[in-house]
Amino acid sequence: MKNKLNIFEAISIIIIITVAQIILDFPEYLVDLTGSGTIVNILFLAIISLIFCIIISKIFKNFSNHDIIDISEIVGGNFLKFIISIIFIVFLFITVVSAILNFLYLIRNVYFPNSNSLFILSIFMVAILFTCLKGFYPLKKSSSLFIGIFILSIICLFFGDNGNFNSNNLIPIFGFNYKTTFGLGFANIFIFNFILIYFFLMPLISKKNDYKKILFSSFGINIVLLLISIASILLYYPAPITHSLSKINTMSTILLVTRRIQISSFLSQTDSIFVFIWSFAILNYISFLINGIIYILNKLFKYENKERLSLPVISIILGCVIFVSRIITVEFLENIIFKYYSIILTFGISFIILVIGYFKNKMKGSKNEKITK
Amino acid sequence: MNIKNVFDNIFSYNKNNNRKFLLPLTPNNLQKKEEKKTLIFDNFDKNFEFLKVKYNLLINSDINTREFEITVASKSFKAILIFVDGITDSQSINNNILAPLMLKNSIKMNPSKSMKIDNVKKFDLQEFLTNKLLSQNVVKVSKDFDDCFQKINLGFTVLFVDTLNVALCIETKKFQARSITTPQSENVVRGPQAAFIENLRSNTAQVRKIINNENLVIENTNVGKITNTNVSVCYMKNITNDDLVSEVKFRLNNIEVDGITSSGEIENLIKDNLLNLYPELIATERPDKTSSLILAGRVAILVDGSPFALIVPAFMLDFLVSPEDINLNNVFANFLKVIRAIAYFLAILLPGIYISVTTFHDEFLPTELLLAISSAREKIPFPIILEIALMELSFELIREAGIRVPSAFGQTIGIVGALILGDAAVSANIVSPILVIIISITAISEFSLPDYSFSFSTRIFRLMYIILGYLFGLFGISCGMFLHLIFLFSYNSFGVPFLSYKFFKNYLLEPIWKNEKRSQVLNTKRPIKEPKVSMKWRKNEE
Repeated sequence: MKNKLNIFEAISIIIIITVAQIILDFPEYLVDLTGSGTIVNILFLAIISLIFCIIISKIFKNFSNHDIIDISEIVGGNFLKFIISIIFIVFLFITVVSAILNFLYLIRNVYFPNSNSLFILSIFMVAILFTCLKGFYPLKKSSSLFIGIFILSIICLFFGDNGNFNSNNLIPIFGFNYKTTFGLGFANIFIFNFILIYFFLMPLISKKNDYKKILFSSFGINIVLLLISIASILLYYPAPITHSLSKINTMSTILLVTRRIQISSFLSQTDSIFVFIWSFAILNYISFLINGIIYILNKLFKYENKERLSLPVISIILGCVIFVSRIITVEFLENIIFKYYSIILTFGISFIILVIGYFKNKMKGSKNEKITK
Repeated sequence: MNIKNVFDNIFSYNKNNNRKFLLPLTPNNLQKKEEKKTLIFDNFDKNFEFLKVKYNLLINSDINTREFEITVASKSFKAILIFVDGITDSQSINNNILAPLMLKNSIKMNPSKSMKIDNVKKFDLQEFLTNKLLSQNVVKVSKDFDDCFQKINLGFTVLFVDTLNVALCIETKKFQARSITTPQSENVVRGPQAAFIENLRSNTAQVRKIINNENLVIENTNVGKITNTNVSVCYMKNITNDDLVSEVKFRLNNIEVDGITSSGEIENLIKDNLLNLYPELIATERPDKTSSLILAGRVAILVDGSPFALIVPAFMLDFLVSPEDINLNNVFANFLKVIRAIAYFLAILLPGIYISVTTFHDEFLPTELLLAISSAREKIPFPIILEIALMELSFELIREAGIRVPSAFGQTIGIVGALILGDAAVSANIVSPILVIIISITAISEFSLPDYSFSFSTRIFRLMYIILGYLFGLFGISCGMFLHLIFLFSYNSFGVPFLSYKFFKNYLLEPIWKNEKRSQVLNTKRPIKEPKVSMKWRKNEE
C-alpha cells in the first residue's frame, strides 16, 4: 500500500516525463520537423492521441489489476511476457542513457566546459543510485512535492518576458506545407510517449476508479506544457534557425530561451535558476525510468528485495553512458532510435497486445458464460 | 574481503534482517525477559551474607546497615535494615521504622486489646509488622533479592527479619534535587516558565499536574543492566495508538547496555535510522510542550536523572515549531513559522549558494553586485573555499568556546569573535566583508531554529552544500538537495514518515477553534479533538 500511487502522485509522475523531455530539448526536434506549423501539428496529434487514450481507458476497465506485462502473459504466455519485458527494458535503457548524456552535455557545455564528463557524471549517478536504493516511495513523494515548481518553470518560459516575442515567427501557421505538418510531421507523435505509462498504471494506483481521471488530467496538462514550450521557442526564434542557433551556442534551444528571460533589472540572466530546478526534474525522471527497469525485471524474475537490483542496473547504465559518449551518437539515439522505438512501442506493440488481450478476455468470459449456462 | 564477497554483496541477494515497524501494523509479540531471580532465604544469616557479597558492604561507604532485634511475644527475631545514605530520609527511618520496631514493640510486649498473641506459631509476623508496627505510607513486600536491590537503589529502606522469606521495602526516599527552574534552551515570552529537573518523579508530577486526567498512564521500566535507570513511558490511554505504545516499550525493554546516564543515550538507542543526522525524537525540557504532545497522541519518555523528555514519533517540521507558537494569535505564529522555515533554508544553503554563484554562475548577478564582490575579493590571497572554511571554522570555535566557558566570560568570547575575527580579519584582507555578512546571516538563521539538536544537523548539511557548490555549482546543490529530500522521505520515526507533504499542509497553525482533528498519521484512538463548534458561547449568543 505504501508504494501505491494516489491520484496526485500518479499525475505528477506522468507530467514529469513531459517536463523532462521539454528540458531535454525535445520541442526543438518537433520545431525542426514542422517549423512554424508545430503548434497545429501538436494539436492534430493530440486529438489522435486522445482518441487512442480513450480506447486504452475503456479497455483497461477490464484489467483492473493488470499492466501490459501481465496482459502479454494472458495473450502469449510466459514467452510473450518475456519478449515484451525485454522490449520495454531495452527502451528504458536507451531512454535513460540518452537522457543522461543529453543533460550532461547541456550542463557541461554551459557551466563546466573544461571539466571531464566523468566528474560531472559522478555526482549525478551517485544521486540516482541512492535514490533507487531507497525505493519508489521517497521518489514519488519528492516528485509530487516539486511538480508545481517544475510546471511553473515551464510556464515562466512563456511569461518570463513577452517583450522579446515576435509573433511573426508563428506565421505561416501551417508550417512549411500541409504535407509536412500533417503527413511527415506525424513522426512528432513520439512526444506523446508518456502514454506508455498508462499501460503500467492500473496496478500501481490505490483507487482504480481514478484511472480515467489520472489519464485525462495528465494528458491535458502535458499538452498545455508542450504547447507552451513550443510557443516559447517559436516566439523567440524563427523556426528555420533554432537548430543552428543551438549548435552555434553549444546549448539547447530551451536554455537559450531562458537566457532571454529577464525577471527584473536585478536578475538578468536567470538560466542558472532554471538549470537548478531542472536538474531536480531530470533526476526525478531518470530515477523513475530506472525504477521502471527494476519494476519490469522484478515482474520477470520476482526478487524479494528489488532495491538490490539498483546497483547492477545503474552499473550497466553507467557503462553505456561512458561507452556512448559522443554527441553525434546521442543525437542519433534520441532523434532516430528513441523517436521511432517509442512510436512503435506506444502506438504499436503495446496497443496491439492490449486489444488482443481484451478480445481474448472477452472470449474467455463468453465461454465461461456458456459453461455456466 | 575477497573478490567473491564483493561480487556477492553487489549482485546477489542478502536478506535484510532489520526489523521494520509501521504504525498501523501490530508489532511482534513482545519478548519477556527471562531472568533467574534469587529468592530471599528465611534464614537471617544467609540473607545478611548474601547482602554483604552483593553490595560489597565492607567497602561500600554509602550503603548503611542497621542490625537489631524485634521482640514479639517474648520471642526475639534478628532483623536488619539496609538503605543508601544520601537518598533516604534518616528522620523517617528513625521515627517510622526503628522506633516502632524497637521501642513501641518492646513496651507493648503483653498482648493488647487489639492484638492477642497466645501462640507464637499461629502468629503472622509479616502481617504484624506491616499492619501494626510500620507506620510508613508505602510498604511493599519483596520476594527476591533483585527486586530488593532495585528498591534500595531507589531510596527504599529494606527490612530483613529472621524466619521471614520476604523483605519489607519501606519507602523512605529523599533525593536531593534542584528546584524547578525556567527552561534553559526553550525560552518563551508567554507561556509557562517551568522546566523539567533531574528527578523523575518530580517530572512525572509536572506532567500529571497539567494533564489532570485518569487516562494519563505513566508506566515505569528499567534500562541498563548495571544502572537500572528508571524510565517512564507516558501516554494517554484513550488517545494514543496501542501499537505505538507497545513499540516504545518493546524498544526500551530490548536495550542491552550496561548503563544509561542521560536521555540522549536512550534517544540514540531507540531511533529508527542510524544514519539519519536529524533528530528522530523531540527532546524538550518543557512540561507544557510534553503534555500537549501527549494529548496529541504521542508518547513521552522520561529518564531518571535527565531534565529532558523524549517524545515519539517526531516529524521533521516539529523541529521548526516553538512552544511560543500556541500562545500567540495564529497569524503571528504563522508569520514566525514562515520566518523559521526561511531561516532553515538560509542556514543550510546560503554559503553553498554564495560559493556556487561566485564560482560558476556570476552572470546571474547584476553587474554592480558582481563588481562589488570582485573588488572586495581582489586583495584576498585565498581561494573562496578556503575563505569560507576559515570563517566557518572560526564561527564553530567561537560557538563551542561560548558554550564551554562560564557565563561571565560568554560576552567576552562574543566580543573577541565579532571584533577580532570579524573586523580584524577583514582589515587584514584574510576574508572579504561580503563573506562576513554571509556567515553572519547563516549563523543568525541557525540560532533562530528552536530545536538545539536540529540545528546540529544544519551544520553538517551546510558543509556538504558548500563542497557541492564549490565543485558543481548550482547543479551540485540541486543534486544534493534531491538526495537530501529522498533520504528525508525515506526515513521513519516509530512507524510514521519523518517527512510527508501532509505535514506541509499542517505546518501553518489554524486558529485554535478550528483545530478539530488530531494528526491522521498518528492513527489515534480519538481522532477528533473538539466539536465543530468549540466556542459554544458564541453560538448561544446568536
